[in-house]
Amino acid sequence: MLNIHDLERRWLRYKIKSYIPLFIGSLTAIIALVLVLIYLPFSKEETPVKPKEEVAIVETVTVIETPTETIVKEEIIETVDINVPQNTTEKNIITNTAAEVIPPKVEQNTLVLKPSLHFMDNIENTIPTYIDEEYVSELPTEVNMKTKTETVSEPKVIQAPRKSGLTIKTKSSKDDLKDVIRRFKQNKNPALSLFIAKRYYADGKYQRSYNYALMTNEIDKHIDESWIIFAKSLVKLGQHELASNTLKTYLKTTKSSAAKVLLRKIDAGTFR
Amino acid sequence: MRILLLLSAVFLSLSFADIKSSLYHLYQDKEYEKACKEGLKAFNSNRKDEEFISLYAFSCLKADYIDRLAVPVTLLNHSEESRSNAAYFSVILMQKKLLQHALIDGYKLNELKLPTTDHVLSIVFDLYSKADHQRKRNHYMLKDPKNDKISYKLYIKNSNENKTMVIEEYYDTIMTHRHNYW
Repeated sequence: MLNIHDLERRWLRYKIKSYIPLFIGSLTAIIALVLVLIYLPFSKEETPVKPKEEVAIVETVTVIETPTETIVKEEIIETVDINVPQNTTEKNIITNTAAEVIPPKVEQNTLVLKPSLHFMDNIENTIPTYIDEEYVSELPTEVNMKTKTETVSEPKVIQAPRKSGLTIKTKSSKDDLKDVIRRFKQNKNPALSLFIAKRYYADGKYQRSYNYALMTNEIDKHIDESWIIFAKSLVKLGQHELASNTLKTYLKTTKSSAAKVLLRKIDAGTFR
Repeated sequence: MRILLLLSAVFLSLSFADIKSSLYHLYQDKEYEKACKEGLKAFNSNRKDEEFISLYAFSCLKADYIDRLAVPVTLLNHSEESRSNAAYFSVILMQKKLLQHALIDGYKLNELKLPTTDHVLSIVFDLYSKADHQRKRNHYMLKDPKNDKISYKLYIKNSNENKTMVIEEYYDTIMTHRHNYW
């Protein structure tokens, strides 16, 4: 006799098994649809995935030079290592937890604007000479000094010639310097600029002595005295480290004993 | 009376020349802040002299008085050089304002494409706009793409109800310059 109950159970199992693929298929389709609906609006904002080790930055820079408006295009291709290990000292200085060096990553086509300083030349030409005003402003103070000494010192006959002698000396030296600066502007002779640098250094105008020593070095790199005045001016301007480094690089190309001595003095702190 | 008027006119013109040359010397001596302040005092009497305005604007730019560029931007119009400088100043001024807006109010700069300049504000602006902003930070350390050793720290400092934007320039681990922008 046939076992109907057993047959019915087996038929049910068979039926369930036949529906399983359909059920799984529809379930995955629904899940996929839900996922697509969730992530589709945000997918546009996602940034492209960064490669872990290296990012190639391709920048196309358009430079517009102001007076003639010529457009020059240049391509700069650089490789930046993202995983550069940070120094421990840097961590000490920058003590915020959010300190992470953020590397740039996006390609771009940018327009670069540059300042135009040609108007400075016009101003320079309209001003009579560079040091005229400086000495105009200085002369009254000298005169005041002299008048003060005059009022303090009572004897008249003995001191009068001394004062006049002094004024003649200072005026002539200033005229000389003015003349030297004018000549230097005309012929760019390094000997003249070195002379000016020395004079300014002697007068305690270290910024100007630095400028003229720098100009001398640019014109001729092998003038020992110019490098020394340059380094000395830097020290006087408080740039000890820069002065030391400058002398070290200079000493790589020459064996100047004066430069060595000065470097030793700067490093030891005896020259200030 | 006529002689008096003539003399006063001569003195006035001499004083104008004086302020421009003194501003020029201050600029050459790298005393930018002093030049900017002196220029501001004499600004109204020299507002038609574009060389003076340019000199004043560059002094203020170097002294980090960026907001003072607003007036020169509107006045530099007559020569080609003036117009290009005005564009240069306006980009820097705009970038400063946008950076402040982004740092304080969370305004997104990623989608902006602006011209750039060689000024530190523009460099930081470009690096900031390319940086990842998915999480908020107290400050940003931005690395110069052209030199590995140069980096910039950008943050907002709260002091006396004022929010100051600060950019610190680093070479290796040493801070070389700090710019405060109000």
